[in-house]
Amino acid sequence: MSVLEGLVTSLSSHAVEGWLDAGGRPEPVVLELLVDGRQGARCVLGAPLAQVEALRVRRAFGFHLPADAPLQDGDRLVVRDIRDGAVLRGCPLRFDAGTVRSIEKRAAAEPSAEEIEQMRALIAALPRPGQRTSWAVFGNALGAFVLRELRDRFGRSRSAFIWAILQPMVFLVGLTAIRHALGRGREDIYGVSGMYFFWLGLVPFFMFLHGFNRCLGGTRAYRGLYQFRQVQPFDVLLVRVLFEFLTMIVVFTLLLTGFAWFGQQISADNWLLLALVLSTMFVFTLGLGLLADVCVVKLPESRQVISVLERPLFLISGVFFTIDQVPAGVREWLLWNPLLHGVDLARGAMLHKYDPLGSWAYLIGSAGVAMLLGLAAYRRYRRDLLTQ
Amino acid sequence: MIELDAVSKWYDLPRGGRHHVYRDLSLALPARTNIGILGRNGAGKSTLIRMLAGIDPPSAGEIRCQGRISPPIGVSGGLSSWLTGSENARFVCRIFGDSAEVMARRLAFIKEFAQLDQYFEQPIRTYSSGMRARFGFAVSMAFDYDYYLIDEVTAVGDERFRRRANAMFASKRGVAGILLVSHNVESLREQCQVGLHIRDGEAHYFDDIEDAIRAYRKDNR
Repeated sequence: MSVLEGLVTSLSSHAVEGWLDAGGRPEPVVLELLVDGRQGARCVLGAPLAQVEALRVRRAFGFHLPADAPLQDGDRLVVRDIRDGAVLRGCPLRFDAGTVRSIEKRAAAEPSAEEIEQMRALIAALPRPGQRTSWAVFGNALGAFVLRELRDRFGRSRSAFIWAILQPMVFLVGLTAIRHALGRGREDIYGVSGMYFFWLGLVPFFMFLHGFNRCLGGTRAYRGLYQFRQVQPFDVLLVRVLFEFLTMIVVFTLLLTGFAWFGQQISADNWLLLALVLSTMFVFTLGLGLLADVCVVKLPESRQVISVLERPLFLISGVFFTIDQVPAGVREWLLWNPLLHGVDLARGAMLHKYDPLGSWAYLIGSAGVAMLLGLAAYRRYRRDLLTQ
Repeated sequence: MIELDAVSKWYDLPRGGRHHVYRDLSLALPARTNIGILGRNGAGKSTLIRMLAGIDPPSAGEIRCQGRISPPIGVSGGLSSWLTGSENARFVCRIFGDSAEVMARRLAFIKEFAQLDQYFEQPIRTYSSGMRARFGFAVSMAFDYDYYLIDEVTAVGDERFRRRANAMFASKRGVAGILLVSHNVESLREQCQVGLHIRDGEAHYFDDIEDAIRAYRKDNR
């Protein structure tokens, strides 16, 4: 038996009301209401009465029952077309006061074909995908990722944000405490307190370390997203490194304010030079991160090796010493570490009384080589990153 | 029309050797038609979808297409289970470079079509598989493409959602084409006109979905 699209939306002991899908029925429709198989009432829907309500094009119907025969609990109701006997969707209905509410809820959820068509037209009117330049696609994907990364990094728990600030400070306090224990806590280093000196080393170091660590397995974390062609693994790593750098800059500024509060003279020698060092470090971090992430994808075991190699970095990257404090025999070896140069140059840019020994040529060269290798590995194994 | 010209696809296996999914496949798929894609597990249905979507390009050969093809929307991929439905939808809109106004309209559509009510503002990990399917389907329908790639989504939804999906397909008839991968013969019969049966790295095109279903049934025997 065919089914009439529509619903009974309102029931009371004296009236049954609802709507009928107006689609494809230009001729008058005669409906009848059967109560327990007996004819209760009739209703003629004449000229199409389209009632537009909440995007729905419907034809309303209503039956009024005789005053001497109201509906009673347990009555079975059927609404049908008198011509072909097609029954309204959802019939037979059992009448009881409780069902009335559930019917209304269902009616609100069910759209008609017209509504669907209107929805489709609405979407068709919006801008279509695939009409942007590749730079715009790249930019939009990056923008979307920055917000997503913000959510991913700090949105899950408030402690993540607090930890991002606290973690470098814990190291700062630790280093200062060790210095005090060695009995040299009151001495200045290059005209500033030990704590400030350490802080200038910790910031560029943690920028690298956090950024690099977020790259390891970074493309895997978003592997489901590569089914949107606009999203490339490179975007993920770029945003992740950028994000760690920006976070560290915020933390850096926060603590500088703190230092100034406690009377430390904040007189950066050259802010622009600092920005240049950090930008070069950014390129270095991203390049190395790309390379490392490709390694981790192609060879998961390499992750352990990388984390072992990472461990001594804190000790050899000049966080708590400067290059000229290192004895000659060891210095030649330590100078191979580009991070040492980066940290040294950053500190040199901030400290008036310190002339850094770090080499610009070496830092920029390492960043260039790291980026070149990273991009080469990325280009070669991009497909593996996409389909991991 | 989507044209595959001598397309081959192989994967290098981790222990050496190659697995060929397709060898020298040439095929023309009509536009503005709902195409049911059938095949046994591992026949290469998903590989075909991924090639069409441009995620995993063919190892050799070429795919040509004038219209725009949607990203494949399946039950799981592409969504972050930690983000809410609303946040996920916003993310997709941002990827596509929507302005705030356009995004608001798309979100209204997705919310209305997916029927998630208050769950729209809950993380996806709290969704049932049916809710995920509805959400993924709504997101994909919120963008106007010439071809939609849909992988098993409609099979998961309940009866009522299937009706809405069918209504949506019906409204797209003559406007866009849908490539529907499913093991559910009934839903293919309902929604598709023509069929593609994939077997042993070959794709057989049938002008009638019934013929494709017959070939698939024979294949399964």
